[in-house]
Amino acid sequence: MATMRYLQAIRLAITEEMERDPNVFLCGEDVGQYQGTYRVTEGLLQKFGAMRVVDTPISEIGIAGLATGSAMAGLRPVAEFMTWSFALEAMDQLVNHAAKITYMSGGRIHCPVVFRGPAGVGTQLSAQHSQSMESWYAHTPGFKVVMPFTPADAHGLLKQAIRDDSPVIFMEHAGLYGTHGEVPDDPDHVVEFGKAVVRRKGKDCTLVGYSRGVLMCLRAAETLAAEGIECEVIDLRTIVPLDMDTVVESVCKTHRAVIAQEEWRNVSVGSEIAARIYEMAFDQMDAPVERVAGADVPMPYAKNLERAAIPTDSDVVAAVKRTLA
Amino acid sequence: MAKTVAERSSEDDIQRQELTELYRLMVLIRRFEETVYQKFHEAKIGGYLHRYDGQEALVAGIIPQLQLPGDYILCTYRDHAHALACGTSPGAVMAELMGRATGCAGGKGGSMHLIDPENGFLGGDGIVGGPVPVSLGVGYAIKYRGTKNVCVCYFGDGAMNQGGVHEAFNMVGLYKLPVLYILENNQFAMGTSVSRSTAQPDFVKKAEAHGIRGERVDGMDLLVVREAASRALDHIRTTGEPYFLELNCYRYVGHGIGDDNTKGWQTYRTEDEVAEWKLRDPIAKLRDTMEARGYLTPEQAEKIDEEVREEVHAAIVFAESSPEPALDSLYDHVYS
Amino acid sequence: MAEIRMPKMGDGMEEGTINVWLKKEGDAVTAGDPIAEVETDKANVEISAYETGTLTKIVVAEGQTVPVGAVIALVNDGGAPSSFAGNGTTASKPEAAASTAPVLLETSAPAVVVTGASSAERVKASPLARRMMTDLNVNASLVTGTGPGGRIVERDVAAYLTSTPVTAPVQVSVVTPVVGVEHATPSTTGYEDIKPTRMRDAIARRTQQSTQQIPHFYTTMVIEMDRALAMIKELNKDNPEGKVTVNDLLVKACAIAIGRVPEVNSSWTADNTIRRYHAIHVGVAVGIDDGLIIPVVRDCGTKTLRQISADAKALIGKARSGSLKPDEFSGSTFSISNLGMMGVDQFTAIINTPEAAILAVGGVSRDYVVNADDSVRIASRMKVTLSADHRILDGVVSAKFLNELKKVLEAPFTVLS
Repeated sequence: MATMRYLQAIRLAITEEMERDPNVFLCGEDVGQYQGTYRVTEGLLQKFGAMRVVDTPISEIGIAGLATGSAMAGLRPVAEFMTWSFALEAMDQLVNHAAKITYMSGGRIHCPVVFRGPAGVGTQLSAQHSQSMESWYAHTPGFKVVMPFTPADAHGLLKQAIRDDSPVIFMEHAGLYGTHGEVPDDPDHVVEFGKAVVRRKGKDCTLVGYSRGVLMCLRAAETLAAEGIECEVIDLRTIVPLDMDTVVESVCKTHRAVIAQEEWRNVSVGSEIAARIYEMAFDQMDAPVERVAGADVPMPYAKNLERAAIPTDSDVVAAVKRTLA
Repeated sequence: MAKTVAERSSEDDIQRQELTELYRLMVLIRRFEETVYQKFHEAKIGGYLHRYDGQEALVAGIIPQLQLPGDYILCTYRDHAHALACGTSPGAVMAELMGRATGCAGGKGGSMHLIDPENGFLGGDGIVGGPVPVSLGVGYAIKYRGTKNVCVCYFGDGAMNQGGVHEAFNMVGLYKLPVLYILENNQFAMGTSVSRSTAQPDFVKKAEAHGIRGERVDGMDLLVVREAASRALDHIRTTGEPYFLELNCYRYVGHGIGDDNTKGWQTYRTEDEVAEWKLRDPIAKLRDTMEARGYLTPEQAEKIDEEVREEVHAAIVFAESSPEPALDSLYDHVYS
Repeated sequence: MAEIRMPKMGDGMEEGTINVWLKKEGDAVTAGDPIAEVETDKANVEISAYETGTLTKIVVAEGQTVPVGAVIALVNDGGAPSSFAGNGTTASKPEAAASTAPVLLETSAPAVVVTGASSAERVKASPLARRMMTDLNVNASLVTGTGPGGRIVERDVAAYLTSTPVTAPVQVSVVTPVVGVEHATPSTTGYEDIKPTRMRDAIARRTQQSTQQIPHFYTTMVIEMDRALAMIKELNKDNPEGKVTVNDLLVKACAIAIGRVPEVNSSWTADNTIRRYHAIHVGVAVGIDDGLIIPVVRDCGTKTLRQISADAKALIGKARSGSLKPDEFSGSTFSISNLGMMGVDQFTAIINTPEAAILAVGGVSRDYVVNADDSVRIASRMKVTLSADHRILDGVVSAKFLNELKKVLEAPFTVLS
C-alpha cells in the first residue's frame, strides 16, 4: 500500500496497463512532450515512446476518431481530453460512433476505448471550462461512465476501464488531483464497475455522491453527526452501470435520501437516482428525495456568484434536515 | 521483348477472368439495387435507402484489389455495394435490409450500417464525414502493428465540408498513416451540388493541404479506377503514407428513396443531365471494352445477367424466409 | 362574549365529537391556543381559540356529539354578552357557522379537512408511513402528522403505536368511560361502554380481518421436551448472564423447521399470488398491560440460538417498556404465541396477517406415555397447535412442518450445529 495523489494513481494505472498490454496506448493534447496539462501523463513519453504516447493537435474530433477507429481495429486506446468541456467538439464521434458501433454491428465489432480527462467545477474558470456533464454520457446507451473519488478508486477503476471491452467515459476531478490516499500495490488491482461503496455508516439519511460530491457528503455527515444525525454516505463510483441495490438497501434503512452532485440539477444523474429510488423503494420513503446540485446557469466568473452556483456541504446539511423535518 | 502467343494468351486469360468477375460484381450491385426499391414498396424494407446505381466502378475497381481480411474498408450509408464487394453474401445484406436475424448486423443496423468485420468491412456510417475520423484510428492501428495493410475510407463530396474530415486529414497526413481516401464525388451532397457547397471545388488541393498526395480520376470507367487504385495502394503499401483519390461519378437515382419516389431530385438536376451521365454507364462501358477485346460475348453477358438475377432472387428468398431478431435480443450488444 | 362553535372541517362533515377539552372553565385562553380536540369521522383535530379571554363556559361535554355550528363553549373576551341560551332549536345553522365560527383550525391532516375527501387516501402521509399504516391496520385519520405541511411520517406512526394514555395528549379522550344511560331501563343493571385503546383497536381490526379473510385450519402435535429442557439447563449453567429460554429454542426450532418446509414462510397477496419469503423473520407475541404486541426476531434462519436469544430478550424488554420501533414489530413472516407459562395446556391462535401460519404453544406437563411395547414411562410433553392459512398450506404440509419441529425439539442439539 503506497500513499499517493489522485493524479499519480491515474498515472500509475495507465503505466501498469501499458506495461501489461502492448495494445494499450495513450493519445491527447500535450500528453507527451509537454508531460500532460495536469502532469497526469508525466514521464510516459520517455518510458513508452512516441508510438504509444501520441501528442495530437488540438483536434478533439480527430482525437476521438483516432481512439474509436483504433479500438474498432483491436487496440485499446486511452484518449485524454484536456478537459471534458472540450470533448463537446467530438460529440458525434463519441455518441454516434464509439457508443453505438457494437450495437449497430449486432455485437460484431467491439470498441474498447477509454476517454478520460478532468471534469468538475470551480476555481473561477467560468462558463466554458467549469462544468460537469456526466449525465450527457450516462444518458447515451453504450457508454460506461466512471467518476472516482479516491486515489485507490482512480487507480482500480481506470485499470478496469482499460480492460473493459466497451467504451468508457472516465471523468476525473481536477479538484481531486492533489488529494492523497493509499493505493494497493497489486498491479492487478481493479475495481469492478457497478459496485458502489458505503463510505460512512449511518441510519438517519442516505447521502449519495460520486467524484467530489462524496467529499461534500462526508463533510456534511461529519457536521450532522455532531448534532446526533447519522448519515450513510454512498460513493457510486460508476454512474453507468449504476448500483441501485446499494442505494436502495441503504434507503430501506434510513427512509431518506439526499443526492449530491456538481453537475446541473435539470435532467441529471440526481434526477435519475431520485426516480429510481421512487420506483424501487417508494413505500420506504419518509420524505421526498432531496437533490443538491449545481445551479442551472452557465458558470459565472465573479467569485461570489460562482460560490452561489456551486453546491457545498452546507447545502447537503440543509437538505438532510429537510428530509428530517 | 515481344511476347509469345502462348504468353499473350495466358495474360489474356487472366485479364478475361478478372474482368469477368468485376463485370459480374458490377451487374450484381446494379441488380441488387434495382430490387431494393421494390422491396421497400412492399414494406419489407424500412428506414432510409440509398442506392449506388451508376457508381459501381468505385467499388468494383478498388475493393477486389484488397487483402481481405487484413485491409479495412469504411464507407458511408450508401453501402450495399461495398458490403457485396467485400464478400458479404447478398442474402446477409438483403436480410439486414429487411431487419432479419440473419442480416449481417443481426438486424440491428439496417441499410446504412451494413458490416462484416471478418471480411475487413468496418461498416457503413450514417453520419456525413463520420467514417473519416474513424479511418484515422484504423490507420493508426495498422501502423501501430507494423503491417503493410491499408485502410480504405469512402466518403462523399458533401463530407469535404465537414470539420471533422479536415481534422482527420491533418492528423493522417501528420502521422503518415496508411489510408486510401476515396472521395465518391457523385456531384451532389443530397440536393446541393458541389458548386453550391464549396468555395474550392478542387478537392485534391484540399487533401494536399493536409499533406496527403492525391489525384482526380474518372469514376465512370472501371479500368481507370482500377489502375489508379492499384497505383495508390502500391504507394501506400510501399511508403506507409496516405493517398487521396477523387473519383468523379454520378448517382442515377435520387439521394434516397424519399426524393426518388417523388422525383424530388428534379429540384436540383434535370432528366437530361441524368440521361447524359447514363451514356457513360460504367457497366455498359466495361461490357463494350470486353466485347471489343473478345473477353465477353453478348450470350455470356446475358448468362451473367441471368445468374445474377438468380443470385439476387435467392437473397430475397433467404431474407424473407429468415426470422426477425428475437425480441429478447433488444438489450444485447449495448455493451461488449 | 365570544361563542366557540363546532367547526365544519370538510364538505361532508355534519357533526363532531368533543374528544377532550384542553382547557377547563375559568382558564385564560390566548388566540391560537388549542382548547379542545374534536373527532370527526375522518380525523382528530385540535380547535383553537380565536379570541383572547377566559373560557367561561364549556357547553358540550367530552364525548358528546353535536352538529356543526353548535356552540361548544363561551369565551369572555370583554365584548358584548352572548345571546347563547343553549343548543337546541336555536342552534346556528352550519352556513352561519362557517362565517362566524370563532375558531382557528389546527389539523394534522389539512388535506382531509380542506377538501373533505371521502377516504383516508387523501391523508398526507409519506409512502413509508402509508405502508406502515396499511401493514399495521392503523386508521390514518387517527395519526397526527408532524412532517412538513402536516404530513404523517414514520415517527408519527411510531408515536401513535407506542403512545400510552398517560404520555400522549391525543389519547386522553379515548379511555374516557362514558356511562351508558341512553337506553337505561329499570330492568337492566347498567353497564359501562369502554372506548378501546388504540392498541385494543388495532388488535380488534387485525384479528377480525384475519379471521374474516383467512380460511384457518388447525393441527396439533405433542412434542416431548425432556431433552430440550435438559439442554437449556445445560446451556444456562455456562452462561447465567444471557439465559436461553424455551421460547428462544422454539424460535430457533421453528426457523429450522421452516427451512425444511419453506411453504410455511409465505403470504397470500392481494393480487392472489403466493409470496414465498427468503428470510425467516419470527414474530414473538408478547402480552403487555393493555394488549399484545409481536416484536420480530429477524433472519432467524441464519442466526444462532444465542443470537436469537439475545435479540428476543432485547425486543421483549422494549415491548414491555413500550419503546419498540415500528420496524421492530412489523415484517414477520411467521409467528409464535406461547401461553405455556400461563398454565395453558393447549390453544389455537389467530394468524398474524399476512403470514401463512402461527404456532400456539401450550405448557409442558409431566404425563404418562405408553411405549410401543406397552410399557409406561413419564415424559415432559408440550402441545403445539399450528393455525394455517388453507389458501397456502394444506394439512399434509402443516403436519410435515410439525413433524420437523418435533424432530428438532426432540433431538435438540441440532439447533447448536
